Amino acid sequence: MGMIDRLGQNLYYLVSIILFIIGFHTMLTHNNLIKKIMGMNIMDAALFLFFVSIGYIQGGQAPILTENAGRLVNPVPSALILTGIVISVSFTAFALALVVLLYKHYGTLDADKILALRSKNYEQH
Amino acid sequence: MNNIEHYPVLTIVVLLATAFVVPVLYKKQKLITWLFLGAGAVSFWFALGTAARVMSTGTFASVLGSWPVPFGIELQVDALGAFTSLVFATLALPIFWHAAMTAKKEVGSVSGYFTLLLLLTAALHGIVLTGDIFNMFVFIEISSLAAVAIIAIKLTKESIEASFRYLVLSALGSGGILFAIALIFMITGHLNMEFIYETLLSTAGHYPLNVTTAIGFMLVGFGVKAALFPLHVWLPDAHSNAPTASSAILSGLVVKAYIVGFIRLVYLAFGTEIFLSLPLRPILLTMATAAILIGSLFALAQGDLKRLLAFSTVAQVGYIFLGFALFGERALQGAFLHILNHALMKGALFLSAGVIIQQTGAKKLSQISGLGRRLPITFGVFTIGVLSMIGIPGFAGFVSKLYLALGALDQDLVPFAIVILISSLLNAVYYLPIITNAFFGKDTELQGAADPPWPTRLPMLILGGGVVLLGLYPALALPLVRQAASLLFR
Amino acid sequence: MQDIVLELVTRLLIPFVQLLGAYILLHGHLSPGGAFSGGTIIGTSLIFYSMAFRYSKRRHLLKHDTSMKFEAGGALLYVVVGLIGILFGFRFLTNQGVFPIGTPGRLWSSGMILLVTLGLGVKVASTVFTMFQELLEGGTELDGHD
Repeated sequence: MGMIDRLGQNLYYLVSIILFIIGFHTMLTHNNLIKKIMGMNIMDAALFLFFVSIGYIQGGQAPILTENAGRLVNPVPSALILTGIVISVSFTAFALALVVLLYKHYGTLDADKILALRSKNYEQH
Repeated sequence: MNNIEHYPVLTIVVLLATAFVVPVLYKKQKLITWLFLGAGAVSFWFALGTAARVMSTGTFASVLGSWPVPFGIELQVDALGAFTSLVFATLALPIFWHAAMTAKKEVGSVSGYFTLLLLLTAALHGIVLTGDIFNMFVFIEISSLAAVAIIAIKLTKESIEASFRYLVLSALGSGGILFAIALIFMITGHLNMEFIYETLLSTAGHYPLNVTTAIGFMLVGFGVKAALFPLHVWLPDAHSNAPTASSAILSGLVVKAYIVGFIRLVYLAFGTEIFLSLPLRPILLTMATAAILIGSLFALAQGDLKRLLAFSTVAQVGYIFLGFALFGERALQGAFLHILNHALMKGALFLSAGVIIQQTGAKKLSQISGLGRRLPITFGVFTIGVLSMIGIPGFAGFVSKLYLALGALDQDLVPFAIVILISSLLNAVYYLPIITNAFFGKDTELQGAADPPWPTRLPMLILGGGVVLLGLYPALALPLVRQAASLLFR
Repeated sequence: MQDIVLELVTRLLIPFVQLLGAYILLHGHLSPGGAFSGGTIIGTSLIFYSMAFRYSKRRHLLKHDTSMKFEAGGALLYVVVGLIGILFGFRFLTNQGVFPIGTPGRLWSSGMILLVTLGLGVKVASTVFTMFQELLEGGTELDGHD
C-alpha cells in the first residue's frame, strides 16, 4: 500500500490531528484571552472530527429504518459528539463571561498584562 | 430490599433536581436554604443505603432506562464507588451547612451558589458511580464547569483570574480525556467499561499503540484535573481565592473524584494487567513523590494561610497517587482511606481558616499572632486538622499514612516510606509554627475578634470531630476500604 | 438608529427559523436532530429578534425571570419523566411498560422520548437565550450604570 493511499484513507484523522495541534498551540502561546478561547474551540472541533470519523463510512447513510437500507454510518459517535458540542458550547459561553468580567476589572485582554497587574496588586497589600 | 438498586441513581437525581429548582425560587432565601440542605441530607441517606448494600452483597449494577447494556447506560456500583460516594455525601453536609451560613457575605448570588454546589456534588457522585466512560466524561465536564464557577462566583479580581486559568487548563484536560475515549472506542466499539475490558482482553495485543496513547492521554487529562504534580499549576491560585466552602469542597472532594475516576478506569475498563504491563507505575511513583516533596516545600514558602493549605493539597494528592502506584493491598487501602481522611482534615482546616479570615480579617500568617486565645474553638479545630496532617497518632491522618508506609515496606520500596516520613516532618515544620504563634504569640491590634456564633461553629466542629473519631476508631471505615482495595486484584 | 431592512428581514425570517426549529425538535426521535439542535435554533431566533430590535432591560421578548423558569421547567420535566419509571416499579428513565410506544415512524411513537425531547428543547432554547441576556446584562450591572 502506497503512502498516498494510506494518507487518503486516514485523511480525517490526519486533519483532526493537525487541527488539534493548531488549537493547542493557539491556546497555550497566545496572550489574548479571546484567542485562547478560540484555540480551545479549535481543539474541541478537532476532537469531534476525530471521534465522528471513527464511525463514518464513505457514502454511508444515516441509520434510519427505510426499505432500501444500504451501508449505514455508526450513529453512536455522532450522538456522543452532539453531547460533546453541548459541553463545548457551555465551556465557551462561560469562558466568554469570565473574559467580560476580567476586562471590566483589568481593562485589558492580554494575559501577561493581567498577570503583571495582579502581581503589582499583590505587592501593595 | 429490591429498591436499593435505585439508590445510586437517586443520590444523583435528588441533587440534580434540587439544582434545577433552586434558581427559580431565588427570592425565597429561607426556602432555598432548606431545600439545599435537605437535598444534601437525602442524598446522604441514599449514599448510605448504597454503601450498606455493597458491603453486604458486593458490586451491583443499576441500569438506566429499558435498554440493556451495552446499549444503555448503567451505574457500576462497586465498593470503591460506594465508598467515595459516601465520603462525598457525608462531607457535603457540613460544607453545605457552612455555605448556607456564609454565602450571603462571600458570593455574588446565593441561589446561584447553591445551584452550582448541588450540580457539582451530583456530578462527583456520577463520576465515581458510573459504568460508562462517556457518561463519566459528561459528569467530569459538569463538575469541571461547576468547580470553575464556584471560584468565579466570589467576583473578586483574583478569583476571576484564577478561575479563568483553571477553566483553560481544565478544558485541556477534558480534551485529553475525550481523545483517550475516542481511541478506546476505536478499537473496542464499546463505551461500557465491562465490555471494553472484555474486548481489550483479546484486541489490546493488536493495537498496542492505541492503548498506550489512550492511557497516556487519560493520565494527562485526569492529572491536570486532579492536580498531580507538574500539572498542578492552577490549583494554588484557584483554591486559595475561592469562597471558603468552595475551597473546602474543591480541595476535599473534587480532586478526589478525578483520582477515583482514573483508578476506576484503570481497573474497570483497561484492566490491571494492561496497567501493570506499561511503565506507568514508575512514572506515577516519580510524579507522586515529587508532588509530596515539592508541594510541601512550596507550602513552606507561603505567607498566606489559604495558599499554604492549597499547596498542602498538592502534596496530599501525591499521597493518594503514591498509594495507587505502589499497587499493593495495604498501600491501596492507605490511599483510599486517605481520600476520606484528607477530605475530613482539609475540610476542617479550610472551614476554620475561612472562619478566622471572616472573623478577624487576618489572611497572612504574620497577622495570626495571638489570635488563638481570642478564637479558641476555631483554632482548636485548626489544631486538630494540623495534628492530623502531620500524622500524630490518635488522629485520622496517622492511620492512612501508616498504611501507606506499610504498603511501601510490603513491596520493599523503603525510599517511599522515607519520603512519607520526610513529608510528615515538613508538614510539622510549616504547620506547627502557625499553631504556636496563634496560641502563644504576642497580641496584635485585631481587637474584639471572637469565635463565631454556634450555627457557624458546628460544621467545622463536626469535621474536626470526624478527624478524631476516625483516628481513634479507623475500623469504622476499614471494611469498605478493604473491599475497595481487593477490587483491584480480581 | 432604526434599520428598516434589518427589521423587515428579521420579521420575515423568524417564523421560518422557528418552524424549522420546532420541526427538528419534534422529529428528534425519527430523524437526525432533537432537543439540542431544535432548541438552539429556536433560541437563536429569539436572539435574532433581540439583536435586530435593540435588546434592553425594558425592551425584551422574554423576561429574564421567565426564561429562567422555562429552563428549570424543561429540566424538571426530564427528571420527573425519569422518576415515573421508578414509581411504576421499573428503572430510572424507563420507557417499556409505562409509556405507550405507538407505531414506529409516526410522530406519536417511542413513548417518553418525545416528552423528554420537548422538555430539553425548551430548556436549551431558554438557556441559549438566558446566556445571551446574562452576557448583556451582567456587563452593564458591573459598570454601575445602565
